Amino acid sequence: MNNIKIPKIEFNSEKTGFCRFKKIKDNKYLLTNDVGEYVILPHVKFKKFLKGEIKETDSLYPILQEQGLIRDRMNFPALISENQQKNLFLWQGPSLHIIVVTLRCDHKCIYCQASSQGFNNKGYDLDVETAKKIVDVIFKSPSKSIAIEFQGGEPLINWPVVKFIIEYAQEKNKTEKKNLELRLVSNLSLMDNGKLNFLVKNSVTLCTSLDGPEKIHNMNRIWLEGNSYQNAIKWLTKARKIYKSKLENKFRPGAIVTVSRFSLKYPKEIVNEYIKQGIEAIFVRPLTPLGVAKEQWQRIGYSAEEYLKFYKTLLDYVISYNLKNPKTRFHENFAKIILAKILTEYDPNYLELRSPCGAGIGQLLYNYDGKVYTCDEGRMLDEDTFCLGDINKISYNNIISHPTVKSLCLASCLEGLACDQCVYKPYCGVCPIYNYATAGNIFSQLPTNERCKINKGILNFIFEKIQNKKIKEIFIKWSKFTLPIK
Amino acid sequence: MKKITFLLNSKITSLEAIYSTCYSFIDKFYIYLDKNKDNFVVALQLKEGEKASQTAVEGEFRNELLNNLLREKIAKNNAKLREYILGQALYSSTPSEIEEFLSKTGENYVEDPLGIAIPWEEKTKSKSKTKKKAKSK
Amino acid sequence: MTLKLNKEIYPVKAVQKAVSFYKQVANFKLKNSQNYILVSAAIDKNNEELVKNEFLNFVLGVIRQ
Repeated sequence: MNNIKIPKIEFNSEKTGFCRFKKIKDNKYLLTNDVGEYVILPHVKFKKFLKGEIKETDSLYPILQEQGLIRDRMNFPALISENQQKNLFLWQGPSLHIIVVTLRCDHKCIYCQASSQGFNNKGYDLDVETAKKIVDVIFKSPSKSIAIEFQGGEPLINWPVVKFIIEYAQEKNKTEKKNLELRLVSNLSLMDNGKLNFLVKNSVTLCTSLDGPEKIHNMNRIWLEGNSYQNAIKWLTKARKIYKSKLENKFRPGAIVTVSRFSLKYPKEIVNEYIKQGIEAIFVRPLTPLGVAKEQWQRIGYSAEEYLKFYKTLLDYVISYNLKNPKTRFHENFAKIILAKILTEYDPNYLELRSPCGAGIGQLLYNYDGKVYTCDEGRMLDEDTFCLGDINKISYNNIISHPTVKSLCLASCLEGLACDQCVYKPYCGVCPIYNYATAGNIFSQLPTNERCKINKGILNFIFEKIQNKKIKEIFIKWSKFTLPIK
Repeated sequence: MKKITFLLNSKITSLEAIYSTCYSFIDKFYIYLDKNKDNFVVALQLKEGEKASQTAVEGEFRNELLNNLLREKIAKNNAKLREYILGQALYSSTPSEIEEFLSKTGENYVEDPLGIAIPWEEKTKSKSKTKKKAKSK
Repeated sequence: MTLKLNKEIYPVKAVQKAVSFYKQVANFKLKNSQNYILVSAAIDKNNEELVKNEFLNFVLGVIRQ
């Protein structure tokens, strides 16, 4: 049996401030601090930093000092202010409120995570009375900004209730005076001019799915009544024109990509489709094994490695498009969110990438039957583990102080997990419900967690790219597209 | 390489650092830990489908252990400073109860509808005057 | 299947948590000896090695949490 020799670690306890670190390519070290500022040091400089031998005349010194890495030169007021800014979301209260107005849908998407019901099925629609109670509870949130997001199934199937909620919420907001945002997530199959005009008039942001060129989109999103791709493009194009003319592009209709196994071969084609349609951003996220996606995982799912190969090709392509077209605003949204955390003093409050996650404290989901869940993922499981109660019986205070909400906070607080040692901790997040769905436990065994592998892989890639001066300029531009929390 | 076992001097390394190091290897290895008088005993067994050489594994484990020992030192050495900074950051972000109350009552706290700002002496003087008047009637 | 877990390395609470989670797999029994916790369970011989190894890793994960 070998006895592994452990050399003495040279470390200056007076000079070396707190950082997380990791060895990266080319014998360099990536260091990050608690608020996500970073520095990349060659091996030799890293050793000098640990020994406290970086001189004040060194060009690195002011960077290290500003980031609080020189222990005896810390600017406490500045560090406190930065920490405060980055953790502002902790005091907000739930700002995203998802209302599932119906579980019925007219599409049969191969990856449906919501386990939608058939168009003609009965008993899956939200009624007006329950909708009113939901809106009343939503406005109890102390958050100054409230986003009400309609989801399904296909929300347009229950249009009367969508309309009611929009009107009722706006009426209530005359006295509540919140920064109210209304969003509709729809496949657009039932869109018509009347509905579109109503949505424009009430400044409702529209979001649809566009999985890529026609072949890929229709392979993923099956609509027996027609061509899903052609219909989505028709209404998305129309909506974008009307929103531009009447709302000065303020609530730009957008689209998201869901990546199935069939999408993996076509990263560039998917990007080209978005550029062709004039959509300013592409939001790429991996599939979560929930709902139908879980049942079909063997057919439509993929490993972290397979997804990362796809994503890196896609992001590289978007970067090269930006390099060739300097005036473009076209970007990848997930990368943009991470870059805002790396390159700005703000936190974009993306609920999946924060500590603790948004379940119950950043978002809530209100199902068609009045049941309240911690988040969108919470309702996608085929069980009520993450149900907080019935809107007819439960108060806002009961909802947010529910033991399940506390458990999810604990399970997603990175400071209490192995994540706390990871160099990427300031930019990352954990989904306890994903952990529960994949491993039966809200706490995950991280090295085997596919979501952890994906996030790490993306962050490795971004930090590799950020060392290129021209790409860093593009990244800085993207990071500013995110508005700060005020 | 199927199974590899090595010793780590328990006076030089820490159990926490060993836990952290082992944890980062559990995707590719099954790990068993034990202790004798002066050493921790680490046994790593490759999972099915994984490949690695003994030298490479020992080297990677040693490097990761060194990193974790260093992380431990840095974290321990800076714990109080970080607690202070984060504590101050969170404390100064807490909405003040007074500010919340004032924002709800609006400007009419100046009008003092409940008479809270009236001194006790004034209140009792005016009450006793009212009583005297009632008696004289 | 029998495992000897050194008490200095494997905290009793972590082992108990792991056993509780693994009750779906088998009926685990814990026994205290001077320096070790003895974990035993009746497992099908074909799966014994796998369950033992996965259990060991699981306990490490619980300790790390």
